[in-house]
Parts: sequence; structure tokens; C-alpha cells
Amino acid sequence: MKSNAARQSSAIIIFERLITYESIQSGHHWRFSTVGGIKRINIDKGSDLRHLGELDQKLWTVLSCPVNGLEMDTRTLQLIDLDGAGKIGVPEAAAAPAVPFDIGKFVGVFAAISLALGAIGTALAAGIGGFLGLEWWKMPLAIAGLI
Amino acid sequence: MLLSYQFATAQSSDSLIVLEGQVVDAQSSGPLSYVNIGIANKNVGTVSAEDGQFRLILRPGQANDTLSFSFIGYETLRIPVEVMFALRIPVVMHRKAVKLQEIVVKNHRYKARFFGTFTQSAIAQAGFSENILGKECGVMMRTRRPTLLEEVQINFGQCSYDSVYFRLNVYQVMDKNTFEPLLSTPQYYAFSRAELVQTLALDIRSLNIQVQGDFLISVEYYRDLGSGNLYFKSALNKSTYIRATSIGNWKKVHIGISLGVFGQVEQ
Repeated sequence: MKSNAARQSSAIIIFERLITYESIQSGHHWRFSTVGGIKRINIDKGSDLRHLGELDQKLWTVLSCPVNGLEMDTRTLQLIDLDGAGKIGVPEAAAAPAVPFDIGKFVGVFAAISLALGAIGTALAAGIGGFLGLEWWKMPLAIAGLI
Repeated sequence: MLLSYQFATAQSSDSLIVLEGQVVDAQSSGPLSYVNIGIANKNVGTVSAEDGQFRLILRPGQANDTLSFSFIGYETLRIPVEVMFALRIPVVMHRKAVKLQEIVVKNHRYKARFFGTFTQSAIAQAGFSENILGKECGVMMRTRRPTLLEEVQINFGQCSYDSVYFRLNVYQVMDKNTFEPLLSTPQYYAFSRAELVQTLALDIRSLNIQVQGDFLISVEYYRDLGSGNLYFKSALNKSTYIRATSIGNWKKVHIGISLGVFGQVEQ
């Protein structure tokens, strides 16, 4: 016969932990690389782009970049600049992959993400870093878009 | 409603913004207790104390946000944080005009039905990690036909407090993010630990609440209960809606607290 204590045992569930658990369940599995001694997130799959909005903004080292003056297609950057503020913020960069696929925009988005995630410090270096982070078969695609 | 802000403090040394003040009723000039105060959709908020006093700590980044003051029976007041700092004068609001419900005499039959979650099993219990003011949890229910709510039933589980205080809320769910309060007066309840052993049955017939479609009934802590445990008996195959502050975002968790309501459904 079980004791009273055993019969009264309960599973106690804390709401807040359930939310965290849900977040982990629905969250995207990110892959990291170490570049120059700095941990960076790899953006090498379409699903990475789709889940970009879920990425904790603490992991974004650059929170905005200008539309003009970068060695990237200005028109592409303007397309991502949804509010026309002349700069691309994290929400815009994260929202961009949700729209129908557009090769020019894809490259622009990628460059913007690279800017945001790059830990090297300059936009150009971050863009190059992002390009180098592509899988080999995506590089011609990116070049075509840039041209 | 008259909101009087006593800005005794501004920014502290660590740059947190501390707002302190008192909420008072315009007609009686007396303090207004348990007013929901916070920044909408940001899970930042508090509830005014019995003497109407409140204290809210904001992060520096929230200086450009807007504070909402919400209380059943009063017009919701929204004031930008920076304006509150700049004005430092009482803000006067008007009591919400209560639109009397249309009375329709119908020749319909009614059938009693239970909505929500009911379990008396203590095997699974769920609750907040902290039972502080403003925390709210409830159960979403649905009725296709007009239904008059009669009796809310809640089954609490483990309780380490001598007394438990909560406010009962009923919302009509307009869409995913819009929950309209249906009560015209706040409903406060207090129970001793001994009373929580049995199913709590709250007679709400006098409130004359009629619902149709999705509605949510919730329990909101309007007082800090202090450190301790308070859990609801729960069903694993149901869900609960929770939010950290009374003006914050609702989140759905996949465990259902034992909270439901008997209603008379129009046939």
C-alpha cells in the first residue's frame, strides 16, 4: 500500500518554463562558426533566413546599416528599407525573407544580414564575410544578384 | 477618474526610470485601488495598491513608450512616459458611460452546459513561479449560441498562503490579440487556504454576462501574495492563457488549469 505522501505527489508545472520550452521547440536550430576568434551565426540555408526574426537581438552586433554609401546595390538596399528611413534595421532585415523570393532582394538581404551579424566592425568586411559564409554553390547566385 | 502623479522620483543612478504616483477617483477624490498600469504588449506593468499608490520601474529604452491606465468602469488612459515627466500635473479622466444592455424577451429554451476545464485530480498542477500582482491566467472557451454565464468553478491545488486574493475577469475574444473586458465592475475574491481545498464556485448570475463565440475567463492577482506556492489542478491535454502583467501579451501554454463556467445556452 502506498503511503499518503506517495499518493499525494504531484507534477508541478510552472507556466514560465513551459513558455521557454515552447520557444525552444519552435525555435530554429542555429549553426555557429568561429571567425577570427569571434562566434558567428551561419546563414547558409533558406530556413536560416526565414527564422531570422526569432534570433535574439543580443546576437546582432550591428543593428542598422545605411542604404547609401555601401559597396552594394543601392536599389536592393532601398527595397529592404521598408520605412524609407535611409537605413535598414534589424526588423526590416528579418522581415525581408518573408516576402516572395526575389534574387536581387535575396542577395541584398543576405548582405544586410551579414552586416548585422558581422562582428568585424565594418560594413564592407561584414559583407565580404557574409559572402564567404555562403556555400560554394550559392556564390554564383549571389554574384549574379549583385551584378 | 482623476489620476494624480506624484513624481517623487525620476531617473535613478543606474538609469532606470522610476515612476511613482497615486490614482484617485474624480467623483469621490478617494484612492482608486487595483488599477492596471503598464506599457501595452510589453509585459511591463503593475497594479495600484489599496491606497491608489503605484510604483513602476521602466528601462531607459522605455522612455518613449506610452503608459496605459486601465480599470473596469473607467475610460482607459494612455499617457506617453515623457509627457508624464514633463507635465507633472494631475490628469483628469471621465468615468466611462455605461451602456445598458438591451433587454430582449425571448421564447427560447435554455440548456445548462459546462465550458472550460474541470479536473479534481492533483496529479498535475500548474501555476506561476511568482504570484505577484498583475499576473493573470485563464481559459479560453467557445459557445456557438448566446450563453448566459452562471457559475465559475476553479480547482486550486497546492497553496502555501494563508489567504489568496484574485480578481475575476471575463473577456470577449474579438481576434487573436483583442480581448474586450465584459465586466462593468471589478470582481474581487478572497479565500482562505482551507476554502481552497474544495472546488471554488463563484456565482456570477448577478453580473448578467452573456457571451457568444470565443471568450476567456481569467484569474488575476491584484495583490502580491509574497513568496510561496499557489497552483491550480490541471489537465495535460488542455491549454491556459497567461500573461505576466495585466496589460501585457497573452501567451498560450499547453496545460489547462481547472477553470470553467456553467452557462445557460440558448437552444
